[in-house]
Amino acid sequence: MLISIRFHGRGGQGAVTASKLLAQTASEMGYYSQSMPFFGAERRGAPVISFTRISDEPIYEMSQVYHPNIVVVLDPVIMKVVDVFRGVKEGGWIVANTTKKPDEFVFGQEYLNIVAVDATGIAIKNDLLVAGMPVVNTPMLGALLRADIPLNIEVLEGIVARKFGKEGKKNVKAISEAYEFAEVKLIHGSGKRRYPKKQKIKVEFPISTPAEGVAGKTKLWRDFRPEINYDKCNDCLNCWLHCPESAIRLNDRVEIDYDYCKGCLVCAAVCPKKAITSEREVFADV
Amino acid sequence: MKISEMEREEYVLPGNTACQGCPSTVALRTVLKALEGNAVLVIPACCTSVYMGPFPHSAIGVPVFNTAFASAAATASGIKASFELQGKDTEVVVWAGDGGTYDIGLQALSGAAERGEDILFICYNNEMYSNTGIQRSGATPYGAWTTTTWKGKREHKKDVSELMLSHGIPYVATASVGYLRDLYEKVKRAREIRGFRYLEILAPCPPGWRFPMDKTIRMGKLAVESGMWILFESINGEFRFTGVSKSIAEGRRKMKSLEEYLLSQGRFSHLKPEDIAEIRKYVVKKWEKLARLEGEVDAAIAKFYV
Ligand code: SF4
Ligand code: SF4
Ligand code: SF4
Repeated sequence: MLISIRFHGRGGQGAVTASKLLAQTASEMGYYSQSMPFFGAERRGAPVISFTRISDEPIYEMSQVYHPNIVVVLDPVIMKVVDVFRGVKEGGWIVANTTKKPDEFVFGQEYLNIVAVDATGIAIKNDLLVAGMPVVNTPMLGALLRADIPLNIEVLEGIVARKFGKEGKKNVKAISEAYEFAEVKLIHGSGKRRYPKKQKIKVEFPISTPAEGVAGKTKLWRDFRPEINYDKCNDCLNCWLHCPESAIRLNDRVEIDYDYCKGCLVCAAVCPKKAITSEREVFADV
Repeated sequence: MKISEMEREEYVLPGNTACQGCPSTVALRTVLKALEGNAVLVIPACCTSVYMGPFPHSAIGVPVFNTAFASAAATASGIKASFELQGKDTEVVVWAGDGGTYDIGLQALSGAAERGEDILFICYNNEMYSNTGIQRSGATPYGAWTTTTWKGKREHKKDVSELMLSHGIPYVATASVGYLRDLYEKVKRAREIRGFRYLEILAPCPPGWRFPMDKTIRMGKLAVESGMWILFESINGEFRFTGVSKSIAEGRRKMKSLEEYLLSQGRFSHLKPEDIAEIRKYVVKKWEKLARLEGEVDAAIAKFYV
């Protein structure tokens, strides 16, 4: 037995914590388990993925999960941007935080089991909010246990109660409500699962070409704007030599390229004539 | 060398993703000017591999080979061998941080040095893993805060420039971002020599060392003026102090106080007097050791610290 689970959510919704709690539940019940996040740019609000594997034998696979038995979707709208059905095994499970009915799900597999639960609603009802955001990861674990997975809800609740201290009770209540209210149904899909076409792989050496502005116009980084007072300047070129950004151009005299100058003010610090002063930058165009 | 006589062409292009006041960009800019762009860079994982920007563009005006952390010197050896077969005299330069030099890149570095590969290995040393968010490295000095030594590092740094001296290679030198003209001249001299050459540049990094970003150059000078960073050059085994360090070694200049250097950086702000005393002991020992290499200067440098 090897059960692979993929969690989809947005940064801040606790997909990573959910996958860890699940692995811990399995582990406490004597299974082998692992949990790992996918590392990308994990900013608040950005789509995140996390994985759990559970088995009764040691697990040697260390890769991401590409063909999950179960997918947990923490965010109701993420399906619009991410293909959460991707790679899910025939007859697998989708556990979704949604106000939709299981019949409303459309996918390319022949059959999938849909577990639909309004975890956001349950979180709000139980006053489970962090920084104004409903906590959906714990109720979603409750709903997940309705899928084909040999884990015990009491063990999960025990772990959550221990881990969340004061908030433990509310979380446990949300878990059991989600477990109870989740709607489970086997749904017929279109069966038109699109497999990626075999492509001729073009092997190319990735060669970059030199360019200014690989990070765009870095002027927007600037809090302070250096100004050269040419009356004081004696053309010693120290500012040019020391500019970390190569943003001082040598024309007839030293000139700051205000498209790229990041405003570090190293130039002002090294100018022996104190010819460079700085003002707070105000951008009219942004 | 007058600034006005330096190469005007820019090889580190503006609009890259380096932090404001970055010591690495300004050092690399100087190095590539000194090589007049006739160079190929081999860059292992470090800040530079990130600030040069994503494919399909590069903020660096010479060819760059991005290689794995551990293998910069080996990659450079291979590229050089190919150039030799093609009859090209392009300089192959490894541009590595202290992680890719002191720690993860050390065995490849030592191997290439021992084989006498004709490459120029430059370490820009900001004394920590800054690219991944400030973790301790083998180059982090005693007492310094990093995210993995949050009560201050309990060990002294190892000194790879000394290690390179004992490899018996034709050129070993240290430089500092505080003295870019000195750096420029050292690269020029290294360019004239064949065989394995090692140059280490102290690179004060504002976010990692916790000082204001306009002070990068100042901090590079202060490190040398306080004796914490020692400028030297060893050509074919002839060791000599250079620049301000030479004046200090010859007794013509008094060292600035170590406290002034240390306490102007957030990473040292928690140091207690006994920590500073420990660092001072280390610095004095280092000076004595190097002074012995120079021979003529007697080892009376310790007196500046009493
Ligand atoms: S403020 Fe910094 S980036 Fe701007 S010109 Fe001066 S040294 Fe260069
Ligand atoms: S450092 Fe000051 S005096 Fe020298 S060229 Fe720049 S602005 Fe002029
Ligand atoms: S962390 Fe330091 S070395 Fe790295 S890019 Fe920023 S300033 Fe430069």
